[in-house]
Amino acid sequence: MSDCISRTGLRSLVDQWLGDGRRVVGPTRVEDRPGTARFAALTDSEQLLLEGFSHPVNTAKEYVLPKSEKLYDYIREGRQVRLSEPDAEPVPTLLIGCRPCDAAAFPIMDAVMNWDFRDLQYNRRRAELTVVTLACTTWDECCFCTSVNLGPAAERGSDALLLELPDGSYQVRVLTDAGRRTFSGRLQTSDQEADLPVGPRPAVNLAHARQVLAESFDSPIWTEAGLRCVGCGSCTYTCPTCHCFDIVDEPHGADGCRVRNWDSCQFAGFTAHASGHNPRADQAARQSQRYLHKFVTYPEKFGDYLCTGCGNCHRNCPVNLGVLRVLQAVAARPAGGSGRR
Amino acid sequence: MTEQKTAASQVVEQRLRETCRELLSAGTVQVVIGYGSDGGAAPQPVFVTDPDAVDQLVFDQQCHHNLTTYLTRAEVRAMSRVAIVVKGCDERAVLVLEQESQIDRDQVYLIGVACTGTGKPDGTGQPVSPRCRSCDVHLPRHSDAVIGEVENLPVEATARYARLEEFMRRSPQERFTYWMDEFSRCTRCYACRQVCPLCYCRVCVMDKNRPQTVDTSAHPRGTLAFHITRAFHLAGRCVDCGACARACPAGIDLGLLNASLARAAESEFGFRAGMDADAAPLLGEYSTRDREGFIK
Repeated sequence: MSDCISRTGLRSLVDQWLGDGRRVVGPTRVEDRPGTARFAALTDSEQLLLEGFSHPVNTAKEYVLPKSEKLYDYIREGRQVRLSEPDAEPVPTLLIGCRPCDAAAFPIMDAVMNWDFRDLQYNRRRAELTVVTLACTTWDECCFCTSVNLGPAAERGSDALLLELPDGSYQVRVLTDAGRRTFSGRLQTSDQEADLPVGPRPAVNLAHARQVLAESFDSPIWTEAGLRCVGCGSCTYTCPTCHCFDIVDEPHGADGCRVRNWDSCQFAGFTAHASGHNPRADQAARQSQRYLHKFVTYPEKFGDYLCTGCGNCHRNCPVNLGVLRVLQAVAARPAGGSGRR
Repeated sequence: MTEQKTAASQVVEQRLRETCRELLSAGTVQVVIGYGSDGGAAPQPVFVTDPDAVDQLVFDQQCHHNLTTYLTRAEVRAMSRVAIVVKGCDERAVLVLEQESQIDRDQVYLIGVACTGTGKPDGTGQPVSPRCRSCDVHLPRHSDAVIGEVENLPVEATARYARLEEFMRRSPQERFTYWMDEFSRCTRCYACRQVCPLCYCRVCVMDKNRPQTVDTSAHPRGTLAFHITRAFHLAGRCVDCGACARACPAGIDLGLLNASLARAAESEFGFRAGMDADAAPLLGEYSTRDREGFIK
C-alpha cells in the first residue's frame, strides 16, 4: 500500500499554485534539443516535463541564489547617503520534478549560507521553497550520484519524493511538513509500490580519491586538467552546489546599487588582487582549487561533499572535463605520493 | 563508445597517428593538440607529448571542438613547437591569428583533416550541424599535412547566410525581443568567449574593473552589453566555426549574431575572415576603394 497521485493530480497541483500567484519551477522542454531539459518558471502545468531526459542542463539553485540580485540601492542626499533595501517578499516557490541530486544540494548550501553569517536574501527565499523531487528512472554517462553517497531515490533535501508507478502515476513519500501541506487532500491510496531504481554503477573509489586529493594541492593532475580546461564558468554555473559570488557596485551617476553576482573559481579574476598579484596564477591552480574545495576543504568544515553527482559539470563542459572524469584520474594515482608538479 | 567507425575514417585515424608519431619522434614538435578518446561517449581535446601515446588520437564526426583556441594560451605558447589538428573552419581561425600577429606560423604545424561536417550523430550519417551543410572549407587549404579527402565546392552566399536571411525577415522589434529572451538565460559563464580562438585578449574588456566598463551582472543590460560588444569585436574576424553556440550551456544561438556582421563584411567589402592567406585584417587596413555607403 502506498500514497499516490495521478499525473493529472500532479498537474492540477501545479495549476493551483500558479492560480494562487505563487511560483512553480520545473524541468521544461528545450526546443530543437530532444532529450534535453531546462529548469524554468512555469506559466502552465503542461510545460512541466517529467520524462525523456536525464538531468536538466541548468540548476535550480538560481531560485534561491539568483545569478544576479540587487542587495540595495544607494542614494545620495546632500552630504548623506541613504540605503534602500528591496523590500519585496520572496514568492512562495514550488520546485517540482527536480532530481534527488538537485534537492540534496539545498541542505549543502544551507550550511555555508548560515555559517559565520546568516545570508538574509538566501534564507528568505529558501524558507519559501518547497521541493518535490522525482526519483530518476534513467541516468546518463555523466551521472554519478551513487559515487557520492546519494542515489536515484535519495530523500535528502526533499519535502516529498515521487516515484513512478507502473501505471504511470506516482507514489508519494511525504517527508516534511511542507510536503504534507503540499499534498494534503490530493493523495489516493494505491496497492502498488514503486520499484526502487538502482542508479548508475558507482564509478570511482571516493575514499581513495579523497586521500590522494588531500595531498594533491600541487600535482601533475592539475597541469593536465589545466591545459585542457578553457577557463569558462560553465561547470560552476550549472553546478547545484557551487555558491561563490562577487559583490559589485553599479553606479548610475552619483547614485547606484550594490549587486551580488555568481562568480567562478575558474576565472582568472576570481583571486586577482588589487596589486596585480594572482595567487592562482594559472588554470592548473584553479582546477586544483575546484576539486580540493569540493572533496577536501568543504567536507573538513561542513562534513559534506560539495557535490551531489548530478554530472552537470561534465554535461556542460565544452571540452569534456567534469568532476567524475577528474576524480577517476585522481583515483588512478597511488596515495602517499608526493604528487608535486 | 563513439559511433561505428567506417573503414575510411579508420584509415584517416591511422594516418593521423602515424603523422603525429613521426612529428613527435623526430622532435619536429613538442606537443600535438588533437582529439582523443578515453573510451567515453565523446572525444575530447588532448595534448600528446609522447610518441608512444598517439594511439589515443581519433577523428570523427564528434570532433567539433575548435582546438585553435589553445594556441594563444600562455602554457601552450611556452611549448614550442606545437602541432595542432584542424578542420577547414579551424584553419580559417589560424589564418586570422597569423594575420593579427598572434602566432608565429613557423612555430605551429598544422595537421589538416578532411571534414564532412560535425555534430552529434543522429543515425543518418549526415552532418547534423546546420552550419556544416553550407560549408565550403571541408578540406583544409593551408595545412602542413592534410589527411583525408573531400572536395571544397563553392557555396553561394545566399546559402551560407540562409538562416540569417530568414531571421532578418522578422521586424526589428521581434528580433530585439528574440535576443533579449535568449540572453535572459545567459549566466555570463563566458564559455562562448573562452572557446573562441579569436577572443584572445589577455584581459577581456568584460573583466576590466578599473573602472568597470561593462556591467558584470547577468541582468538584461549586462548580458546585452556583453553579447553586443563581443559580436562587434568579432566583426570581420569571426570564421563561423560555431564553437560559441556549441559551448553555450544556455543553448543561445550566438553564431546568428556573428553571421550578421560576417555578412556585412562580405557584402560591403568582399571580405571573409580566414579565407585568404595573404589578406590583411579587414579592420586593420585602409583602402581608398573601401565602400563608404554606410556613412549617411
